[in-house]
Amino acid sequence: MIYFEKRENISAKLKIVIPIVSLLIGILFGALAIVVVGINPYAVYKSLFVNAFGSWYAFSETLVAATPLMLITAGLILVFKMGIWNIGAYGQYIMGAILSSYFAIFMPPEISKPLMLILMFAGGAIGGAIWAVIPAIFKVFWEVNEVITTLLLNYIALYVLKFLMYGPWKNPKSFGFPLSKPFPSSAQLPVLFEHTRINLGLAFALISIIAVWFIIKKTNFGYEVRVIGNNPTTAKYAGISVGKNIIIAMAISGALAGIAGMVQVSGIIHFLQVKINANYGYTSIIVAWISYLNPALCLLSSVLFGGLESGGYSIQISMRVSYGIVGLIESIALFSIVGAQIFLNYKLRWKK
Amino acid sequence: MKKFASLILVVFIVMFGIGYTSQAKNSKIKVAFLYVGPHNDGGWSQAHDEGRIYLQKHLPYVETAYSESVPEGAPCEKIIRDYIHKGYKVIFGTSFGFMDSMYNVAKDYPNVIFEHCSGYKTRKNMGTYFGRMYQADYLSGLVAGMMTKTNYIGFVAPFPIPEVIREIDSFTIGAREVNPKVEVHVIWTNSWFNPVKERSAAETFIANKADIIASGCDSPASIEGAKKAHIFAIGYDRDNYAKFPNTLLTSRIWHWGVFYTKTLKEIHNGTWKATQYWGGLKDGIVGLGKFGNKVPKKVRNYVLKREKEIIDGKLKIFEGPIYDNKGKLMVKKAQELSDKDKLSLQWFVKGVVGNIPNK
Repeated sequence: MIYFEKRENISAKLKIVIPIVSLLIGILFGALAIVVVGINPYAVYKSLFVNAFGSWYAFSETLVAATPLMLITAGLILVFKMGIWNIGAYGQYIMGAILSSYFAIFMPPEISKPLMLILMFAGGAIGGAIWAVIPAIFKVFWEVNEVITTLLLNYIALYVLKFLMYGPWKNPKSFGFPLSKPFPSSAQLPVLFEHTRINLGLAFALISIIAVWFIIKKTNFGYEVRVIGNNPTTAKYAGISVGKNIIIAMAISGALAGIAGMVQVSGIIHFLQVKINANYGYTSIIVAWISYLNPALCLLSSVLFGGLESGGYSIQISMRVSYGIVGLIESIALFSIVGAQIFLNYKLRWKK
Repeated sequence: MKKFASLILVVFIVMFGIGYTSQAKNSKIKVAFLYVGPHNDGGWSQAHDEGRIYLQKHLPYVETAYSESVPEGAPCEKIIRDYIHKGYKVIFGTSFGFMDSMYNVAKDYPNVIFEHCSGYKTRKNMGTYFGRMYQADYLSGLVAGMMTKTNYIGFVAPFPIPEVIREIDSFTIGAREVNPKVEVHVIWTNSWFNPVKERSAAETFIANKADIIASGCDSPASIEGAKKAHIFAIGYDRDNYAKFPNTLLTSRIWHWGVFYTKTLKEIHNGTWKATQYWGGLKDGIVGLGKFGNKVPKKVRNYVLKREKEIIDGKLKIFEGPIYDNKGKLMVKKAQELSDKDKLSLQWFVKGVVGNIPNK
């Protein structure tokens, strides 16, 4: 009989080997699926790489997709470190996008670009933070499980967005389509490299990763976060205000997710709509895990996942595979990476 | 940690290495199509895909590719840029919602030609194209008006945009020309392709004694609903006669291939200019499908007679007097609604039961 045995300690080697092996296994299973529909899997994977990293243009699109992942993951690392499971980045991202769009849609477009962008940035951060602090308060004062509340708030955020897009914020000139007015140029994040869509948001993302690393390693608050993560009871006896720390960490995490939403609408889409790629909020949970809650690794995993997304769109073009196959390959790869995490903490044993 | 970093570095170098291997080149004009639904959705996108295949078959110097289920908005822009970076020179966007993405990208790539279906924004290198489907809608309305017994016709409609309102209006004008008692009831699905919603809208109509279901949505789901209830349906986008010979009365059909070959010929000859193309029955871009088995000879003859009058320019569908569904005179006698007004139509004619939300 096979059973799992908990590992005493996890070696650094294992931390590297397991994700890579599991990714390879995922690629193998994905290849089987591609063979079944009668396409050469080697060509598909090659094309995926080419389209994610094969040229400056491809890489720039990968960075565009990686930007929101970095922002959200940086925040998630902070709360995950203290054992608070914020599943609500999806909703915090949407609320950030909504609140920042408010300024783009309703402020007079003549106001100067820096002022507009600062307002939108603040709107994104506050919108996301509010949406994260609500479940944090419930958690701290009434011990309501934050997994449930953050998850459910995602749906509320989505319906708030849908309400606005089908109702009051709909552009009267969009002929019934649920799109807002296009943002004025003052409300668009400046592009960093010509002929790409890489915008100032990437700088926000890099700064936020460094900031989270700094908070965790160098500040008193970060020390408390780590202690709470190890053992909340000990933390309490050591005189650490657990509740206060949870609320602050959630506010930071939500704010970063909200800024990611702001970066998406202001830097990429240039108007508000129902589909603003809020799924980054869920993908980031996986990215955070793959990074072992390490800010430096989060940079790398975000780029890898960004490549998977951006290359995935493109293989439909270059390989003429159907839309469904792309999703299938991606989800098989994700499943095996996440699934293999169990081998980090446990090893397989035979019992006769 | 150092080991790990160097490993990742190696992985990246390998990725770039694979990436930079050469890509084949050829001299054909590369043309890309963006579809809002699956290429085989049985409706709108499939009609465009049939146009693409038609183009591919007729012009040997053209190479085509398509992307299906393209989300309107940011991903759409990314897909267009991908095509351009792969050397595509002509982009056909086949949904209204692609307009702003195409318009943005067109600014950055003045040497790429953009043709956008059903929109209104143009540039030097971006034209629009559409068809006067309202002519076929009117003809199918004639069939429906003569065939209904309950005088209750259900119209499953996607978005309250001028294109769709024009369809419902001209259909109703046709139906009431031959049967003034007809009422056309409207349900919005707020989606181009949502078979579940389309089916349930059809079932709502059926429960209310509708005996004909028409649809402006992109799937044949409402026809299936009609078939199950043993009533009639009016098809849209492409001819599904073979599948529903006893359910369909007729269909309003797009022949996009006509426009695609015309455009590519112009591009090939260097005579292409950005225009706002709006062809009709006469140009062959729209038309009626086969009549269903249950449509009597008398009805067919009348419809064909009116079709000929439209083609000859004798019959104008939006000619007054036309009242809106609140009783206000919108088009005076002996006047015709201008093309500009048709393209921005935002009111229902008399006989339509339904609302246009958030005007």
